[in-house]
Amino acid sequence: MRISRGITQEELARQVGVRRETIVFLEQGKYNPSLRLALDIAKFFKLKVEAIFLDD
Amino acid sequence: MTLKQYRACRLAIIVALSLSISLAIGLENYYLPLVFLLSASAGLYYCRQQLKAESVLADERDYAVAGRAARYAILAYGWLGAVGTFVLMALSNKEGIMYALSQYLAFSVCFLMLLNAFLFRYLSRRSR
Repeated sequence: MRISRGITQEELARQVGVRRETIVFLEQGKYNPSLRLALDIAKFFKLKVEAIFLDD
Repeated sequence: MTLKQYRACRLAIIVALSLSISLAIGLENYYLPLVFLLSASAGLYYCRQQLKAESVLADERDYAVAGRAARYAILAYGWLGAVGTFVLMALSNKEGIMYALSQYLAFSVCFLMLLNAFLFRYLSRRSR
């Protein structure tokens, strides 16, 4: 999703207020974000939380 | 100040602090390290204030990992301290350096556990 929109990990991290390493761990499925962070990421992508974090 | 500059500044302050404390101890002056420590803390605080607002030093994942690391560290120190205390006491015959070390270990473990319990209770109440 991030790649398809041409956004770097650094940019996404800066927008949601975390370090780039946290975005890396999120994408690898090694870290579960807090509700606040999940909502911030969803708000950034203009999508629902479920659309980003749930596997269909 | 950028994050890179802040990290360089922090490293420089830490190196300077280490060198100055070593020098002071070498000169057998044990009050100067306190002065250096306070100065370094003030310097680090100043550098932190100069950091750009949007720079992230530590985020929620760092705090979560730090919390787990602290818990394991307390657990390990508690066990090592408890076992070490009794081993040292057994080897010391109630005198000498080993007995003093065993007492230091025992009291430091007790203090750490009490401090941990107090902080946990306080922070738990605050987060309600």
